Order: sequence, then structure tokens, then C-alpha cells
Amino acid sequence: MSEITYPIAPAATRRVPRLPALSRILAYTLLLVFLLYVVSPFVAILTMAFGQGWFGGRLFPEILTLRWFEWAVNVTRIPQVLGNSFLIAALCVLISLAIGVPTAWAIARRRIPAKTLLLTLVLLPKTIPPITFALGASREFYALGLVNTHVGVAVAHAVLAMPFVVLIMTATFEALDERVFEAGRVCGGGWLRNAIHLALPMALPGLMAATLFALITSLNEFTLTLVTYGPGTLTLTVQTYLAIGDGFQEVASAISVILLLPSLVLLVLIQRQIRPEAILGGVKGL
Amino acid sequence: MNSASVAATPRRGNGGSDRALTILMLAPAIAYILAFFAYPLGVTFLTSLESDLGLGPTLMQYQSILTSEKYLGTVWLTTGLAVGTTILSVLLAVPLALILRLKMRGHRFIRLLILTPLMVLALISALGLLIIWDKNGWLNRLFSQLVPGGGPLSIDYTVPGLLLFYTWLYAPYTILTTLSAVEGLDTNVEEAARVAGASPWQLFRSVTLPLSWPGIRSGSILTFLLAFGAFNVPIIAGGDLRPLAVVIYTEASTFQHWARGSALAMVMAVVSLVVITVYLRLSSAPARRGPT
Repeated sequence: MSEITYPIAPAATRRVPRLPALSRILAYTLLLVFLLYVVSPFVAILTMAFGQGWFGGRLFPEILTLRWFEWAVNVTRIPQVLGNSFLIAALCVLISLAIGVPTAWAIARRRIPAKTLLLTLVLLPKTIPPITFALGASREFYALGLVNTHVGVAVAHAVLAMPFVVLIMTATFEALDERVFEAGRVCGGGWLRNAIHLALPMALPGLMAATLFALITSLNEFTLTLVTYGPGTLTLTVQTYLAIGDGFQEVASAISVILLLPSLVLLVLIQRQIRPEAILGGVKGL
Repeated sequence: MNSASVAATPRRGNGGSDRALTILMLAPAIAYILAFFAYPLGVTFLTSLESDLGLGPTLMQYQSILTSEKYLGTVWLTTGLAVGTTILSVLLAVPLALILRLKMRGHRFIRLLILTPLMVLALISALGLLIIWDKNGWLNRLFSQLVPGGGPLSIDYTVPGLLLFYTWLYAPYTILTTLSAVEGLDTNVEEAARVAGASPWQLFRSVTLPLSWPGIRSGSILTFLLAFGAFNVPIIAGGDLRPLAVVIYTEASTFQHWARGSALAMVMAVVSLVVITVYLRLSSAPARRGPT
């Protein structure tokens, strides 16, 4: 490792110079602390979910068991709750895409007055805490009969998911090359064929990102679920909350472990397919 | 790149039907925002004007909030937690981004790690954090072992603890945008500064930081907003520390005191907007100090 470090690294071979040894140790220490910080709660959840008698200052659980998972499936009816959550999330994605994609197209590629104002209006729900309109929403949804329906909860979630869709899709559509569409028109494609064969494939990564973000927003949303859910539309967030509130930390942990799997799949998908930092980096309109 | 963006300029509208199509594309979103965001917000506002006796519009809810030490304390706690989380997130994001851009061994794994708090239910992480930072929790034990004479830290249900939990959950937004900004930097500019004899600190202070500031700023605003509105973490891990969102929810659901809850919600919205505006004003300064 005795390597000569030049004060100026040759730009052609190495864009960023390598750190000297001391700094490298420091850097790895920081990364290790960060790793510990992020990962530790999951380790705790795993231990809690598979262990029994882990309290009163014990370093490890007394015995390992699967009974909390049994509880999660039988008592808290996780399969059914999971179904609710994903149905609501799917509806939320559909609503936000159906409304958000045309809006994004108009904002990105059509001449409209007050473009910034429009974008601000759409992003407004993300700029103040959800609880501020959740109170009014609970009354409104109750009056409309939307409480305790899957569509109702999805409609509430879409208020927070749609801005993401518009944001991501506007950036995506703005990056499309108009000349491609011109070529399509020259070759005799109508707007529909252009949309299906040109716009859709080119915008697909953005569309996937938007879908994923809307999905995660819905699955994670707590405040707006709490004011719109009912016994028939119990979602995972609310069920986890209830389990923790009732003192069933072990069962809540078991639910969490069941949930961790789809979360990790989504995580890998996102990391592989889209660059989240690029999307979030585009959030400069706020 | 340049020619593409020129070619991508929007088509000019060609007549009435085209304009109608544009309106048709925009109308659902506008209607949706009005119906399910603006309208409920309006309902919250109108509710906040109700008096305890159900009489006509009055400002008595606001009056009792602004004269109550308890509620003012709640506002301060919420704002303090959010500002603290934002500062911590920047302090974490900048070194992390500077390290990650070196693409050292294992950097991909760390990048994946940054995303985990966004992907996992916040309630779950709150529970996990509570367990691991418990007086008998593993991290607390590790800490007592490492620091001689240091007894177990009180983390759970304290302000530093909540800051730690909030940062865990909301820092990824700052980290992601900071990383994106730092990696998007033109390394030639830094190279030039280095050639000109800038020390590493000077380089960081006058080149790297100002140039990546827009990214740090946009992410930290998201972090602030989320921390300010935090509800699921404090309701699980807050204990007696009850930020605004929790107080509002309890007022409305437990005490059925909708008017008070709604007035608090309005105060919350205003404070949030004020802090964001101040932050935007203040934070535009470092960018101006960038190289011209």
C-alpha cells in the first residue's frame, strides 16, 4: 500500500485523487458508524421477531421461536391487511398516473401560461404537513362516504403521490427529443402511434420511477390513512401502529419482518433501474 | 445535448382545439388538488374559527393557543426538532457525499443503505430504534463499554433521542441530493483551485461547498418539511414529547376538540411556511460566494 500520492492526480486517469492513509481510515470509520446507525434497528427488529423473553436487561432472547409470526398471520390477519395495503397502493398509483402524467406532459411540452404557478400548485400538498389538511379531509371524506373504502383511502394517498408523479414525469418529458416525434409524424404516425411507439418507450424509466414512488408513498402513508381507514380497509401502517400501541412489540416486529422482504425487493429495483439521487436532485422548485 | 434541448422546445399551439386539449390535460390535476387538498385545508381553517360553544366565527382558539405556555412549548419543540434534524442531516450528508464520490470499496452497498430508511415503514424503524437504543439495548451497551465510566445514555423518549431517530429517517433526502450535487461537480474547477494552491479546507470552503449548495439546500428543505410534520415516529417513540402533529391528532381524535386541533394545524402550516421562507432567504447567500 506504499503508494506515492501526487499532489495533483493526472486528470486523464483519475478524476478524484486517492485519499492518504489517515484520511482513508477516518473515511472508513465514518462509513462504519453510518452502517451501524442505519442497520442496527433492523437487527433489533429481527431479534425481537424471532425471540422470546428478551427483556429485563438480557443480552439475547431466552429462546428462539416462530410464534409471533403465527400471531401475526392468525390474530392480526396480516395476509388480509397486506391485501388491503397493496390494493390501496395499486389504486393510488392508477389515480396518480392517470391525473399526473397528462399534467406533466402539458407542463413539459405544451405552451401554457403561468407554468411555474401551476407546478407550485401541484406541489403544494408536499410543502405543508399532511396533518393540516387531514383534519378537514376526514370530515370531507366522511360526508362523501369515502371513509372505509379502498378507493377513498387511495384518493387520500394520491394527494401526496401525484405531486411526485408530476415532478418526475415533467423532468422525464422535458428531456425527450422533439425531433424523434417529428420523424414519427413524417413517417406517417398519428399521435396515438407516436405515443405508444415513441413516447412510451422513451419515458419508461421515468414512468417506472414515478410508479415506484407513488407505490411507496401509499404503502408508507400514515396520517391520511388514520383519518380515512375503517375496519374493512385496515392497512399495514395502521395495523403495525395498533400492534405497537397494544404493547405487542414482538408481533409488530414479526409484521415488520414480513414487510421487510417486499421493501428490500423495491429497494434493489430502485437502485438498479433508476438513480434516486437524480430524481431528488431535480426537486429544486420548492 | 444543446441541440436536443433546442429541438425540445414545445410546439406552438395551433388554434382553439389545441388549447382545449391543454386545458383537458391540466384540469383533472387542478380539480384534484382543489377538491382533496385545498378544500379540506379550507374546512380545517373554518373549523378553527369555531368557538367552544359552537358560536359563529371567532379567533378564540388562536387566542388560547398563543397565550398557552403548553401549546407554545409544543410549537418550539416541533420547530427545534425539525431545525436540529436538518442541521444534523447536512452534517451527515456532506462528509458522506465527499467520501462516496471517491467510489471506495463498498460504496455501492452504502448507497443502497442510504435508501433503506425511505423504503421501510417509519413505524417499524421507530420501534427498532427504540429497542436498539434502550437502556439495555445493544448500542447503549456498546457505548458504555467504549466510554469508560459512561453509564447507559438516556436516548429513548428524550429530545436527543428523537433527533437521532428523525435524522435516521429523514436525512436520506439531504444525503441523496447532496450526493447528486457533489458527484455532478465539474472536477476541473476543483483541480484548478488545487493547482492554484488552495488548501483542502479552502478548497472545500470556497469551491466544493458553494458549488454543491443548491443540492444540499433542496434536500435539506425536504428533510425539514418531513421532520416538522413528523407524526408516526413521535407517536411511537416520543413518549411525553409531543410535537405538533401528535398534539393536533390527539386534540381531534381523543378529546374531540376539533376547533382547537384545527387552529393548531393552521398555526403549524404558517410556522412551516415562515421557517421555509426564512431558510430560503438565508441559504441563498453561500451560493453567491461561489467563484465567478
